[in-house]
Amino acid sequence: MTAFARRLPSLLGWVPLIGGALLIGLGGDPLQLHVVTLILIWALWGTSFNIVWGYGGQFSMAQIALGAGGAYTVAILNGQMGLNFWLALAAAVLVAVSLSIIIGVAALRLSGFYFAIMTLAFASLLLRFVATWDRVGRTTGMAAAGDFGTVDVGSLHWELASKEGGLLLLSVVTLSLVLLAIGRIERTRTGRALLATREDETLASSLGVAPIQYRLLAFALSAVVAVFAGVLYGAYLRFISPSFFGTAVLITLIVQVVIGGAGHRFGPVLGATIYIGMTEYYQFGGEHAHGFFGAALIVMVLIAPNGILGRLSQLVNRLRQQVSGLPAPTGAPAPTEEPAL
Amino acid sequence: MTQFTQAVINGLMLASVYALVALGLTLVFGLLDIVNFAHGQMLLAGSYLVFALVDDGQSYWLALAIAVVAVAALGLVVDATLFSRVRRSPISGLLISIGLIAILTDVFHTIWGPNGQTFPTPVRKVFRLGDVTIGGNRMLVVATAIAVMLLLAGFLRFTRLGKALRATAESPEAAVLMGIPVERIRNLSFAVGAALSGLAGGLLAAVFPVEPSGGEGVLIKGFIVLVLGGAGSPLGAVMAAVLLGIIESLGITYWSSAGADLIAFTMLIVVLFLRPTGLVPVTRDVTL
Repeated sequence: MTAFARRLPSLLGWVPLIGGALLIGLGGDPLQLHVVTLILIWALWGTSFNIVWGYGGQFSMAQIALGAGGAYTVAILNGQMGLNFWLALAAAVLVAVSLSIIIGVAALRLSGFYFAIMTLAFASLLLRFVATWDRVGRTTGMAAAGDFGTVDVGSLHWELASKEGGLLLLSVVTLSLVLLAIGRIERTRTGRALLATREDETLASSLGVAPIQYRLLAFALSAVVAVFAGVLYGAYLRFISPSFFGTAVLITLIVQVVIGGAGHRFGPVLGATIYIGMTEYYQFGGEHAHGFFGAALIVMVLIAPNGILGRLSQLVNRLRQQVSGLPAPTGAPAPTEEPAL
Repeated sequence: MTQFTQAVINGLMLASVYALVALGLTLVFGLLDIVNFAHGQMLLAGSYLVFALVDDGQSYWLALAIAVVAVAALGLVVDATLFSRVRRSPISGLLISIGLIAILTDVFHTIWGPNGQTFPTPVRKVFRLGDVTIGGNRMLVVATAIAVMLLLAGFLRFTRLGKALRATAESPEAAVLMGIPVERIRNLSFAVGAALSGLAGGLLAAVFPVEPSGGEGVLIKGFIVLVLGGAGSPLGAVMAAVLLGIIESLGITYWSSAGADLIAFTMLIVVLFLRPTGLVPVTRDVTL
């Protein structure tokens, strides 16, 4: 029972993934397909933010722009020039990782809000640059459709870039692999070192853990995941412009991760499911959805700063302690207090 | 040469607005350790209120006064009800201000729609200095901003309340021991910061159209000025605002508006990298 209770949050997290996979197999209605695909893409983007902020404790405002960098790179190389999708994706990852290292080296010495501003400055610079570049259509934008290749399983056949399942498939696989990888990293020395620098930088340094090094690694990893999300997002929208990666989108991302629970592996998945499910499937709030979720963000910060999963794991831990008198479980420690800045 | 002088004068107009925004940010950051990302939306609230009142037939000056008071009240309310609950956690304050951006943007969008709003300008006169022309509205922005900054400096330096404010910024613990009601001083400084942004918004509305996305650019410029000036230093903020305003205006004149932004963002990155404490050395004299 207790082992099950401990694993419950992570087990619940796989539900949207499995549901998404089922939808491909069973072929839900177009709206469901649309909603699930978007949830998966946003969950990836949220995971990217979660790696750098939830695990690394650095509030990066550059994740959307890094994703945009990926989307534009693939749109140019694959869409315009016809390069093989996987090569284009590799190039996009290379671009974003290089950018993240440049940003990281410049920004990771800074702490707190200076880091946030520095990443915001880089993000604004990147988007402003795109908005002045003729080749990518300046502020108007450019087509982001391309040929991503095909996958055949027995008699089933998918165009990977198709909105009718191909992108969904690609998203399910990518998100699952990323989440599995994070689960692995959580248990390694690297993962623990990263969490240690988040919890107490001074203590971690005194134990021989170099905070900057681990944060740079986390930031680079988050850039890779942001590229996956950005590329899928662009491919799904079929069209990208700088305004698709602006402040409103950044706020959406932050809202999702905070609601789901920063620092929890499945927090962004839960957040994306709630946000996209409510706004896209139930059309909740109509054009006021943005304002409503702004209010929801404030309420969450006041009553449950670690999000829904943070609150749940608190409850589970308390129950465990009452039932068995055992201390909190080992494994990746959930954020103890409010998330760090 | 005429073009250059013209650009510098336009730059001073931008600088006045940036200085007001950055002073508000500085006050809030210095006293509350909060980076208020909703500062740009508070500025927009000022712009929209002035627009609505003038559109309704009120005089510009009355509208400006009402807008400043209303935005100050808004600042007081959000600080007392929201930010005061998370004083120990700067990240929570930051997140709350991000939530406020979404709410306020929605409100503006709903009431005034997505398009730019303009109203008849308060000053019709155009001044000429040789070949250089200066719009009366731009003069008004600069003059009002300078007057308000002098008033603010006087308030901080000479009044009891201003001294209490500076004492709280320097050491909240010591201020409490001296009997200063620190929590109320914090509310006050948030309200004053909001009032400054409301004023900046009201002034800006006399020169540029008011639109829902207008807060964003000014906010980032405000941050640039805040960092360049060394956070927590009003004098540094004003000097940095002048520098940024003129550089931006020259950039617009000789390159493009996007180019000017590229310069501004690059400047921020370089300064943050080389001198995170700002361009002006922060000494006791120039801090709050």
